[in-house]
Amino acid sequence: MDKELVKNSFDIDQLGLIKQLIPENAKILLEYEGPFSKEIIRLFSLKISEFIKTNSQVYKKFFYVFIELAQNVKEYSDWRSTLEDGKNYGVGALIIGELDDRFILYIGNVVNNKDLEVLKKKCEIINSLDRESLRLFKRQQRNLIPGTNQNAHIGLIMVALTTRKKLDIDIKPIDENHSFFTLKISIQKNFKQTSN
Amino acid sequence: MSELKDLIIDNKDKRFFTPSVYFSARTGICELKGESFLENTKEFYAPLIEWLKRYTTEVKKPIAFIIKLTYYNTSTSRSLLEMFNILKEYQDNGGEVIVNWHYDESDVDMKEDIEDYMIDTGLKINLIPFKPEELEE
Repeated sequence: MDKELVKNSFDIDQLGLIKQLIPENAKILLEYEGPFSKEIIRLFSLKISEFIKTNSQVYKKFFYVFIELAQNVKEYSDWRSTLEDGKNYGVGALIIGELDDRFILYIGNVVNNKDLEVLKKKCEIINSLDRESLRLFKRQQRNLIPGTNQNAHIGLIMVALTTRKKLDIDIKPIDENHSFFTLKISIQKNFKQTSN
Repeated sequence: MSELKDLIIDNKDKRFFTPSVYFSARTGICELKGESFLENTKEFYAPLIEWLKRYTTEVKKPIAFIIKLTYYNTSTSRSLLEMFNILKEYQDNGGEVIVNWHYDESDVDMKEDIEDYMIDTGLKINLIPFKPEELEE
């Protein structure tokens, strides 16, 4: 076995970690764990259009949030995997589900504890802001020179703006230096907002 | 220096997440449409940014920048900002600039983001709502 093929892998049940967070009465539409390749992300984005047909605003929101967060896993997961195309992808897991009143996306990946503190802090800041402040924060972040994880953090701001909810996160320690970070997204089915 | 040529990236084969680009050096009409969820955003947008820089410093004619993006990700939004800043600078130096952004009328999130671009850059962007079926081809 070529050692180069798998780097920084972990012996954990990612899907299990996410599943225990899912509401009992949720109907699971899709679950996955593995590398988040471009093809996988595309495939799931097409699936989402099958799941959410009734409300185009709800679909747009869900689709947008899914792409942002899936690309975050791909880019920033600490668990890396090299596929046959020679490219290196982040590994993570996700569950898409449905309840009576909402669709859910629970998506998680391994994070280095050094990055985790920054990430937690960012989530706290985002959750402390009202909508107008959050928009200002987005504009400020977008004007910064791109640095590491910068896009991921704007991505989280965009997720909060799009879902119009606080970021709901879960953190499970894996080993001394790593944790499993899950974002629990839900989007109401009856979402209806008129343009102001 | 060679004359500025049209920049066309016609995404006919519907590559995933990739927008189409029609920048005309002759007419000054620049259109960006489709979805932009690229991973190599900077690589894709670098020639567009370079083209705008050359147009606004060499061609120096009026420019109509038309956006018909259905979706764009966070890293795309940075490249958009960069392009708007170039257009704003051109306008401040006397260039004639029109920006029209066509957006799905039900997409309040995109509308809000366009407004944020205006606040950010000081560039006037005309918001043009459409019904989703109008963009179908």
